[in-house]
Amino acid sequence: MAVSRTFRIFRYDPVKDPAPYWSLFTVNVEQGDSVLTGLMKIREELDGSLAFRASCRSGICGSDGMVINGRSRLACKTQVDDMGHGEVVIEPLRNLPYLKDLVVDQTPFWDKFESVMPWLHESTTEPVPETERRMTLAEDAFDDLSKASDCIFCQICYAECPVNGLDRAFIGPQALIKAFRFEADPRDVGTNERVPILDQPDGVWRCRTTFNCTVSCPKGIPITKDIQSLKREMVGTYFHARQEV
Amino acid sequence: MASEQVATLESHQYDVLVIGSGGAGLRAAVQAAVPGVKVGIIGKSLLGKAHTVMAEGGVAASLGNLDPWDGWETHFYDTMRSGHFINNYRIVELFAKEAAQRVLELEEWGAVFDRTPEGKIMQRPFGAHTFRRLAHIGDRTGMELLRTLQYKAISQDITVHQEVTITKLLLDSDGRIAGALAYYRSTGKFVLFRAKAIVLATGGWGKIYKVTSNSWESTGDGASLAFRAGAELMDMEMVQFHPTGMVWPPGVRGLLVTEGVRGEGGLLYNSEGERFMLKYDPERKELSSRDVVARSIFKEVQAGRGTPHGGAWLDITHKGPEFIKRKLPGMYEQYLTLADVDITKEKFEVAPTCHYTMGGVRVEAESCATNIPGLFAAGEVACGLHGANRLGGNSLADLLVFGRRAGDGALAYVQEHGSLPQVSESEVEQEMDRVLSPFSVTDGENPYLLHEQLQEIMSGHAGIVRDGPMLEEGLAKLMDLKVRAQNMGVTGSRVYNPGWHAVFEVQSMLTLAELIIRGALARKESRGAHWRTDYPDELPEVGQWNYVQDLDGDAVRIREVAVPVMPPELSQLFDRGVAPGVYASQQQAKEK
Repeated sequence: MAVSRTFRIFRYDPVKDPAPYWSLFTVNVEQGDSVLTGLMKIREELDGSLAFRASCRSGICGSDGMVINGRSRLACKTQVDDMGHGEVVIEPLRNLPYLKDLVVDQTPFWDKFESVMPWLHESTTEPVPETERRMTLAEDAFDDLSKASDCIFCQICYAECPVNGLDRAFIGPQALIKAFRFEADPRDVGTNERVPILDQPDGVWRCRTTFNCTVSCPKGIPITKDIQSLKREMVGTYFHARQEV
Repeated sequence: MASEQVATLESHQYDVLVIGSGGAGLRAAVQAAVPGVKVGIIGKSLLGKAHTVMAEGGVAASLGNLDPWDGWETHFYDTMRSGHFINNYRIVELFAKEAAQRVLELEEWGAVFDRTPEGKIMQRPFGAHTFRRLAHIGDRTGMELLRTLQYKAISQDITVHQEVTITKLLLDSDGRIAGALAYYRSTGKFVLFRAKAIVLATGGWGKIYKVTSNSWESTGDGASLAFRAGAELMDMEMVQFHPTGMVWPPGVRGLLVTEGVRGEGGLLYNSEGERFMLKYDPERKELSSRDVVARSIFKEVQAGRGTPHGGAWLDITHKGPEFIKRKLPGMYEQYLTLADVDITKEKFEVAPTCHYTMGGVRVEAESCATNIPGLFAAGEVACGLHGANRLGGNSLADLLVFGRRAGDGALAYVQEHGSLPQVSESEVEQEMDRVLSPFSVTDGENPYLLHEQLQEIMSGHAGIVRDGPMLEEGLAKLMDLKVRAQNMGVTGSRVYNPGWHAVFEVQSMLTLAELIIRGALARKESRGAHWRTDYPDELPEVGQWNYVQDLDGDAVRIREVAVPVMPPELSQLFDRGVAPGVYASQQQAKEK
């Protein structure tokens, strides 16, 4: 049973618009339809130039993060029914410059992400095993690693972080969760290279444990907790080094 | 006079240019990026969003961690058998022999897999695989695989161009690959890529169908670009319908329900509570090959035994909530958030959904070379591994094995042909005019509407069930649509304009849809995914052919090409009536 719903959408085209403005669209949505389904209908039926990113429509690719009724969410995982009875208000993610309509420029994010050297630093001394290298992590340690590896790069944590909003230099929760993912991996030997990047005022220490990232993460990754684990690692390394002197 | 000049174009030069930033493309780039070789990757979306992330169940490799009798021979046997023997045996042989190494290598690069209690990579059973073979992490294996390759690529000196649309592959005057014309989606500005070799890794074209598990990106751009540049496409009629897609609500119709649900013990029932797979395939039951299960569900629905929204029931509640949440966390969450159904407590509806395109660019087994010098293809865009039906888990292994081989193939080609081929300036200028033309069409056709009509035609005339008159009628409708598509128009500016991007996607899909129908008309038999009610049987005389299509001027030419015949050492694997690993275990049991 279709009902008519109105979407209020943030619009901006740098080529022709002096300033952003709102567009109102009314479309029919079915029970259970996602906000993304609504956006697709608008684009197909009313305005083909409406720009937003989306790909898998099932919360796996992390393309369609946007602000819906005031909070950053994935449009494909947000049901229109859950957005109350009034207008569905949609804006681009915060903390990243907007390019057009709901599409943001992700360059700052990519730069920060790459700065933590997000790849497995293989041991150069240990010989490459001829058969399978076995990984015997305790169940909770494996779960920590597995959960952190579940990040879908949706930028929602970055957009919801108040520190990122105030301080563009802060490396941000997404890059830190990637650093944690490799630091938590027993096969990785990159700690000595990563610590100088993380152990900075705008690195792990700038996190003020607001928990916005943890609360908003669509994959339920305990980001704040993992960032605190990195802080503990820094402190441990510091005292460890002092004892050795 | 062209509206834009080549001289002022942004231009990049690469030794190896990889088009497609999914699993196959990244694996190829990682392979080609040796010191001194300049490698670039072009992605239609952002890095890490490719359709590879949607592969859930696992990557098939005969590691034998749980079933020591598994080995490459049995993986070969299963793949040929389920492909109904129109696969290229040499491609399958290389694949089966190398898949295990590629998975272990991925692990060296940091991939996280679920583990056995001894710490080995865990493997799960899957449809038509004789042994437990799919290495996996929960039900997000594709994502872990793509992430790992992404991290590996970042650690190397590889340039990534994100959100770029390629509109044409460019050849030099000798017919060698020379580059590609493209535009950045974010700005709409043209960019010219010149390259000594190109690896095509652009995935499939599931978006041709209305109900599909595919992401919005699977529009077959690469296959269509290659075809228009003169490449041969093969067995285009072979389109896989995955038996279990979501059915309700309408917005998520077609979304994949991983075969892992059945792999982990899920059972299929019709509306009368009958476990109907016992009837259609008593031996393999729910874990029969995808073509068989999809057809069985289709037949049950046609016979009036479907669920309320026209599917079958899938039930895994007997495994208990803890098991389900641990082994299938993504599925649990997907049904809960998208359909408001708790799969630990209740059965749920599933129906067939377009999932994979077995057909594609014809390639050489060893190097993934196409018939265009300098053009290589790997992954779903290529053809030859899966035959008439793909096995679950073989696609992820495919992109690792042949992504690597395509990277090597391109590298060898570049080392042999040192110089950068010339592109024709007038050709580039003409192409830029063509690409910009939709902006000057007034009252043009809406590309989204044409896409919807294309999907209607293909779902109604060339879907899971086909026959001659139905296909002929579909072809006629499609040709009408092609005429209308010449008049597509867009509004707005060139900056991130999705309507404009859709124009080229619709053009690609129209090209490939025609080849699907022509292939389906030519193959007068039923085989694997290709089911014709007017030719209901698998016919040995037809099964000796692959159907190859290419352009003859502006017309599509189709011809029969003999399926390569297996040498005796491989064909004898099929003489015993059971899989090689099963045979070996039986022999040993006898000796004892």
